[in-house]
Amino acid sequence: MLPALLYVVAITQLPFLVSIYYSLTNLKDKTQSLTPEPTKFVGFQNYRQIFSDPFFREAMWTSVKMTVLAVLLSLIIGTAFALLLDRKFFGQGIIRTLLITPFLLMPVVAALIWKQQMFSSLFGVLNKALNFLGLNSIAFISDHPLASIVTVLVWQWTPFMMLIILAGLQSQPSDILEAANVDGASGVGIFRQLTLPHLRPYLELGALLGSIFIVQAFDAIDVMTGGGPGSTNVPYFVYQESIGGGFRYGSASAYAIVVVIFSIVIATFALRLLSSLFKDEERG
Amino acid sequence: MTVRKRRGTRLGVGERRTFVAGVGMLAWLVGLLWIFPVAWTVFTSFKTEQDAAAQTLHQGLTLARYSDVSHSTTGTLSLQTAFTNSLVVVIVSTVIVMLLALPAAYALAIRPIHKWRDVLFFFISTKFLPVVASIFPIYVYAEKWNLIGTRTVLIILYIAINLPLAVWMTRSFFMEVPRELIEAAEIDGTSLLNQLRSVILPIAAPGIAATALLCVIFAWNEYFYALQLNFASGSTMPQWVTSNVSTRGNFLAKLSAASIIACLPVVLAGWATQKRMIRGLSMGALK
Amino acid sequence: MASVEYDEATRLYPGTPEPAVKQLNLAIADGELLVLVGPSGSGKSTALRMLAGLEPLDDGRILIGGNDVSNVRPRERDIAMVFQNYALYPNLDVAQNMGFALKQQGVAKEERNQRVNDVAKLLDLEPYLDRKPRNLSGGQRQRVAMGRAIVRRPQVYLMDEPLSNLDAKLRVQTRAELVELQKRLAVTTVYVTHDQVEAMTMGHRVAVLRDGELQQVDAPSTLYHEPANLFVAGFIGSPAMNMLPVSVGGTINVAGAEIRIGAALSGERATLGFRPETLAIGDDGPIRAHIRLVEDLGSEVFVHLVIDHEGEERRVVAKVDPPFARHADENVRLTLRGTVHLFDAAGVRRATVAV
Repeated sequence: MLPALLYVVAITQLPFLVSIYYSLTNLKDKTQSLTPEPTKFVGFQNYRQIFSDPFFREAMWTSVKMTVLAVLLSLIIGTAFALLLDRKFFGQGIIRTLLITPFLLMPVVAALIWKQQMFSSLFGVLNKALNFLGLNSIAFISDHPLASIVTVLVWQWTPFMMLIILAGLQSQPSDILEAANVDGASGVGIFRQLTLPHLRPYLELGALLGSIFIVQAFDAIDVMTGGGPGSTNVPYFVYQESIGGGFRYGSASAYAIVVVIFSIVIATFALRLLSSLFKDEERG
Repeated sequence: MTVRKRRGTRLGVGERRTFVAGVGMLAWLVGLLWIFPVAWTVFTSFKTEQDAAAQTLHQGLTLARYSDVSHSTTGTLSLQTAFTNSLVVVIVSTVIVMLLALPAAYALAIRPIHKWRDVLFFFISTKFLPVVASIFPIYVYAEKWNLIGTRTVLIILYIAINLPLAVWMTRSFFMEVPRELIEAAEIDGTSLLNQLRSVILPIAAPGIAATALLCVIFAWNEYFYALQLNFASGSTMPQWVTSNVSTRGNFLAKLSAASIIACLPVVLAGWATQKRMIRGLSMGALK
Repeated sequence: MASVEYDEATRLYPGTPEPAVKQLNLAIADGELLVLVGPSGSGKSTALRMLAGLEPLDDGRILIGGNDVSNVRPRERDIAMVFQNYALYPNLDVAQNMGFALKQQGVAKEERNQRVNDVAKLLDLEPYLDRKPRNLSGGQRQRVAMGRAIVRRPQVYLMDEPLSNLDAKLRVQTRAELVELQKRLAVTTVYVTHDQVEAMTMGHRVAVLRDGELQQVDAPSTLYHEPANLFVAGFIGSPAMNMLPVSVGGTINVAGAEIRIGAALSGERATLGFRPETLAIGDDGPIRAHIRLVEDLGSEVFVHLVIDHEGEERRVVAKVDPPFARHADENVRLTLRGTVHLFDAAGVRRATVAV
């Protein structure tokens, strides 16, 4: 198992460490930036700047909004879909196949599809439908950038959540559900009192994995809004700071490091919650 | 009320047929709505550009856009090159990931080392650093070692991206193998390799397939590293798609065709293996 | 408290050629403990689930208290069920498990707690009321499952092999407690088991099922002494009844010995059935036999023998009281003394005589 470990350490930690190093300098690409300076060690100056940078704060806030909304919505919708798919009906396999498909698409393609086919003011299907009903077109992307991006994210990640929750539903022993039925519980009652508690670890797993991936969302932003106000999350912000135009690698790295530390703290809390999972495992 | 049925009823006691059918129809409605954007894109890809822009269907359906997009023209990348690049990068990286993940998962599941929880957490935490942040140092080193524009650098990076997830998932699938089977194999004197092959792998196979599929999906669809670290000759499918976004005008139909081509392999793979993926997920994704 | 009736009840699983339960006709009196017994696949669990409403009926009706409940959902039938694997709610503690049904009915908290505590006292579960099922032993879980059913005071209790997951000693003990409990509560109970010892010791009446069809329903002793057919004869009683194919005339030839039997059939092939206790072992007697194995259980001795009957080696089992002085590989003589049965070619019992 050592090879795997070493490999991951090497590939992921080295850039990490180098980023730390860069964050402590005022590294700028001399050829591109407007105010070239020789590279020198500036200590924690970059970090101090971070907290006073309103753009960064806005990016953080957008990240939070985007991630929370996308994760929650895809979890809720995913659970609803899982419940729908949990019983046999004609064409169950086909519907499941259809529902999974958005997850399999390239994020850039998904974003393109929504940008051009659905949301577009000129060609978009949604606006055509609105017009048909006598309503005005809505410029989805320019007027509601965050909502547009969240829509694409939810569209793609709901299948992922649905599969996890479906696995959870199918792992519930059927005789418990029968016992609840005999004991007089209604369908809703059974769901609320028995199924939901049973699903809790699955929901947590979905939320954890989903957050890890969604917080890094990049492709959709790049394609749909190019980072306009209200739609820049932290990864995109860092991108803009570094090779996306700012070329201020030093401060960009500092931003990134802060985010990583933040994430580790949050994740430790989250995993304390999940540690009950591990505890059950050790017993069994 | 005695009704003689010869085939046996599928309805539960007290279940009204209309309710069950209603739920089925709702599921169909939801499924069709959900897939609508994709279906619309497929539809558009068969139109002419005029029809696509105007949302009409005056000129009928055609495959012309697909052939347009498959042939290199100046300013866009070649489909064949991009496809080959993607194929190689994805297959090689996934194979290596699985080869590395299996022993790691074995060490974490079957013969757990002491600090397995910390190791797992460490693996997952490597995904916290945004890809965008590490790009610059990576670029610098890649340039130094002459790896820009090669497939190798992408392979290396994709392995690093997918390995944590692969280890996590494979480990949980290994945990599903009943202890007694492994112990029985031990007692019979089976070597480690044979244990893996005859006892563990058959049981964990669906899970491993699910994991491999997930790695393929993420590697094939990866956009950022490919974009930053490649020239035209080394580009992969995601880049090929965006290269069709022309600034000269909206070629919706062509772009639709390109999108469909690019996504088709993974979508088909996902469709074909979804049963296995679900079985795999329900076996052990929880842990 | 109510009577239960199966009226031509049938269940055919979609895609299978034969019904799991074929036109079952069974009437259970109010307050009776009826045992459904049979080998696996006999349809006993299916019949129980049909009564619970967990399986739909393809034909026939089910009545509880005289009301047709064939299309009534389980939760509206006023029944309580104990499942084979207990099916305790994992996220609720013992008290909540037992009070679950009451909570669904909207029973007020004080009354709920009162009833739960009463039943907990009855079943010695008081120290465990706030434990979760995963922290209980098998026997404790079984009692919680019982308690959950008892708290409800339903019209009918349904039990699906509730003792089969307990170890042998606990099983015997719990069996007795169950019977006492049922007598005290006087609620109609339908009890499913594959263990014929349980069936014989527990039921007021026992219904024997095979391949979805009712073979016989009677009091245990009737089943033992007057089995309706070969299957029931062979299923009830342990060790199983000895059976030999014979030709019927004025006398019957068993292993070369002529036995006088009041002939009810003549000129046919039949099966002679006799229980182990009808074989006496000695130095003289009409039947020659060879001892293969002696099982000394202390209170009784089972002797496995081989006889030469109609040219073939046949095994028979004899039950004798201790002490038994002979050993394996000895040759002895057997005498038939007691009740024997004759079953015709279709397996139906036609005659029972004393010899």
